[in-house]
Amino acid sequence: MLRLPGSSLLRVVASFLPLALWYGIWGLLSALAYFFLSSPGNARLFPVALPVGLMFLVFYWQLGPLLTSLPGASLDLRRLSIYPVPVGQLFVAEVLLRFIAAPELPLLLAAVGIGLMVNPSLNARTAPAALAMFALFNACLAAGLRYPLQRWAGGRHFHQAVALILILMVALPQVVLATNFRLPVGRWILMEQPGWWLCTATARASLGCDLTSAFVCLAVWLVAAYYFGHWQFSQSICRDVRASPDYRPRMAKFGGVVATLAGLVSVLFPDRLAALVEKELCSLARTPRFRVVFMMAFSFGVMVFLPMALHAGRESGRDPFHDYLTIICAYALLLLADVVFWNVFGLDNNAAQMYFLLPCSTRYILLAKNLAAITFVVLETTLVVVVWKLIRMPASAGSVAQAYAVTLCLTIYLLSAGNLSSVRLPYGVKPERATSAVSSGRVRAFLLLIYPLISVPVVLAFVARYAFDTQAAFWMVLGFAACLGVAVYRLAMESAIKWIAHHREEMLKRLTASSGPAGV
Amino acid sequence: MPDKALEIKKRIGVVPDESWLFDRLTGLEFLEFVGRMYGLSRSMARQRAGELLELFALDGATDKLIADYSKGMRKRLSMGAALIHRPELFLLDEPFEGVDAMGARLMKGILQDQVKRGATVFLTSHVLEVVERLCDRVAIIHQGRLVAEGGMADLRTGGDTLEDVFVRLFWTGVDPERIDWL
Repeated sequence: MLRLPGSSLLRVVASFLPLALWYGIWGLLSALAYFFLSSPGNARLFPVALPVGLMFLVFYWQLGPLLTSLPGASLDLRRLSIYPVPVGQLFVAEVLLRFIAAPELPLLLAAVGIGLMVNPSLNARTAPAALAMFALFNACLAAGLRYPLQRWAGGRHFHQAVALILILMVALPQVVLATNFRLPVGRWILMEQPGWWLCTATARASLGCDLTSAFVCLAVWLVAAYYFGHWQFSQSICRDVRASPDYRPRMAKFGGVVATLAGLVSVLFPDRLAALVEKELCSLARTPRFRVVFMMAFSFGVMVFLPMALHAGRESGRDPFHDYLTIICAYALLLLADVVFWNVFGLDNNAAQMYFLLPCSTRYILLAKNLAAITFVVLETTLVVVVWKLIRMPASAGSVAQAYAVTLCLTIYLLSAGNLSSVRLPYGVKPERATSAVSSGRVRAFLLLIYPLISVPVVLAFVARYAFDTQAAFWMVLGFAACLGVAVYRLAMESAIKWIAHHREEMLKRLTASSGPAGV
Repeated sequence: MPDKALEIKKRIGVVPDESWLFDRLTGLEFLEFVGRMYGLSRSMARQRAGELLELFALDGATDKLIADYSKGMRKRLSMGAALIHRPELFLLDEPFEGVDAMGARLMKGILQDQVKRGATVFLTSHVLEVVERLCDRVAIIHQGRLVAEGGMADLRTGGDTLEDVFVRLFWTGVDPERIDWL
């Protein structure tokens, strides 16, 4: 049987490693910000650079949790609403949680403040106060926006589209930087931000320019954020989803698009397996978290890599776009992995027990979940290719074939690892919470170790192409990687089946565990 | 008998806890899914699913996701899932909990019909009045141990109800009158 890290020491290391890496990166960024801002030679850049940097921080603080599916700790308003706790106190707790949920941002702001204060060419004694007001503004706004964003992302049609547009806005800095601020929005961010604008006012107050007007502007922004945040937070407490006027029972036409697709896919398999595959396809397609991730993969993924592809296109004479399609598809796979690979029983929650009441083998259950995942991966890859062509980016038959082949090869390895993590580290997830991660912290730690390992066989194919300077070498190594992947998949499947046979109760117990009033 | 587990499961109809239903399926999809898992053809499963939805007065919610069902509707759907393959043995865990009077009457009638056609019904309940009205034989489990078992008449001596018997045997609680403020 394959073994995952089991000893307590390994578990501690596995849990600590991603945290160390994540905060290490932010620590490094903070140190860079400190050195940049404390250098007297850079002072002339600050009036332009500081508002731009602060603007990116606002984007990250407000929309990052939605994008990364790491919303952090927050109050469970539905549970708390029955107790006689004043809304004001709950709001203060939520604002504090917004700091705790994203400690990297106060860390970065502290580095900025200290850097400005120790810069001998500046008189920036007011920087800590200005940056503290900026941080409080963001925490109040985040506390107010958090629940509407969650609702929208988990809602239908219009609201989900709004959530998607907001997510796409996170890619804006990337686009602005890649186009060297030539786009109108880039020029606005760089040069045309008015003086009363939050980021400009914070920068002016931090740098000691026009102190009175800058602090007045900041105070107005802060008060507005407080009232907006408090208002939205109160609305969220009062809102009972079922009682809200826009609530309509969710209907799902049996003959709908997904059910039709499910019916087509299941024609290929024996009836019990077909029923399981159909069930998986329908359930996933109706899960808000899946829908958001699925849409992100072919929109946000393309948007993030497009500037780099365009840049490479300008720099290189050779077909520079050839590999970008593959990279975007692999990125889409990464986004999808959280919902279709790592914790396949998570969205079933308590209902996972139903599988074991029915007369079907564990192998069929896992196989059906894997077949549904493959179906969505193929669909996602196709959509990425279609979007790529729609924006008139070059895509030769070879690059499309490569994108499909690499994605499917990676999928085999992801399924192998996913089957193991799904049975050994399962984690119950509320399907209606569109912004929650589907895998647990321990699974994420496991992923950090496993992703590079999974990629090795595919990376070797690219190395072979580089070394022998021929596509044939690439395809040969990729073919070998796929065969090896099938062997690994079979081994992992047997291991997962054996694990379920011996630890089914433990697995079901993990899936049915619920969180307290402050959930993550 | 792990090697015969699948064969045995085919002969059993379990009324699952209402939280075990797949929330993102409609009632019709769920019943059809369960029917197909028990070996019915797709068309047969769909036909029976439609009939069961009608029987349990759920046909108005055919396209509604189970996530939006009330507790009583979920219980009735669970019952439908247990019936779809005509099992020989029914296992029911608190089948009438959260079910309205009409639904409970309907479910009891169906269970009695199943017994008449030769099926065995095995139900667990904390509501002892229900047990008294429906069951021929009763077993009392206390703290995981089987403490009494027999026909209804054997257990109910001297006109006591099952609840009287149970309380007499196992009452260890505190008298509420000892708490002044309550």
